[in-house]
Amino acid sequence: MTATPLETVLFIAFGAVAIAGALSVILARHAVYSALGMLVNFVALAAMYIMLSAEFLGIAQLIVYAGAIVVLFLFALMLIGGRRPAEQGRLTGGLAAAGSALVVVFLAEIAYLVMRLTGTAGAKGTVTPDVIAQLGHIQLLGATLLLEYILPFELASVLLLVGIVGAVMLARARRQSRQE
Amino acid sequence: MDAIRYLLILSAVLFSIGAAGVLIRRNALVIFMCIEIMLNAVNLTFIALSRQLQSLDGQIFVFMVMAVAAAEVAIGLGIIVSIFRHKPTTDVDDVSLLKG
Repeated sequence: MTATPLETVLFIAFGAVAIAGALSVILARHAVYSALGMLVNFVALAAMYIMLSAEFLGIAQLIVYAGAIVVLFLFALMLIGGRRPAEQGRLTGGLAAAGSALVVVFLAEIAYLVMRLTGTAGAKGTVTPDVIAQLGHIQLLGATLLLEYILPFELASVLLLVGIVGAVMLARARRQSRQE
Repeated sequence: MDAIRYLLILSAVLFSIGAAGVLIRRNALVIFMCIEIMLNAVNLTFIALSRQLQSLDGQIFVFMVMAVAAAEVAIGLGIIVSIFRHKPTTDVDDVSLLKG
């Protein structure tokens, strides 16, 4: 996988934006700012998916994550009332330091493993970026999804149905308990 | 060093930030956001390796992760709002009792 200089610059820029967004989620004093940092992270990742020639998934990322999920989070925040002191929602002192140390160790392990990757071995498929540009990403992904992976696809729709029923049940139980 | 390593490191960094958030923050909604960040980091790994191996199989996983994340957010936020109605707090340490 060779990248042109323009691609490299864009990758670094979007990567920096994604990391900044993720950091602002965990460092923001107010949960609404966390939700907006999450939005920045999702949009940067969508741009990155498009550059990795996964156009459909990039657009789906924008619609599902940056659209629906962020709006749901903001909706829940507004329902609950986001105006609470920030210090309430954070560990401090020794426990926070221990958690951060654990995460740094984890990151160091992953980085070590990635650096040790030798070559670019592995079974090379036939779906090169040129093929994707020629046939279209949606067509290729749709054919794979509906021919090869039809059972997981149907199971995902059952899962979403269960999700809808569950959300309705949660809302209904709440209304009944309020009436009592 | 080729681009795939940078992408894998980037997604490891994003995953670590999400994990740190889950460990450090105590607000249930922020913990939930950090879980979404970790899911997205894994999606980036799948798409980068899908491009590297020139196969679309990894992108099917991303599709499934997106469907699961959508269902998870709808249910999870419903549960958090239900808990809030029952006991007005979003701090996970305040709801640590089974029958609390």
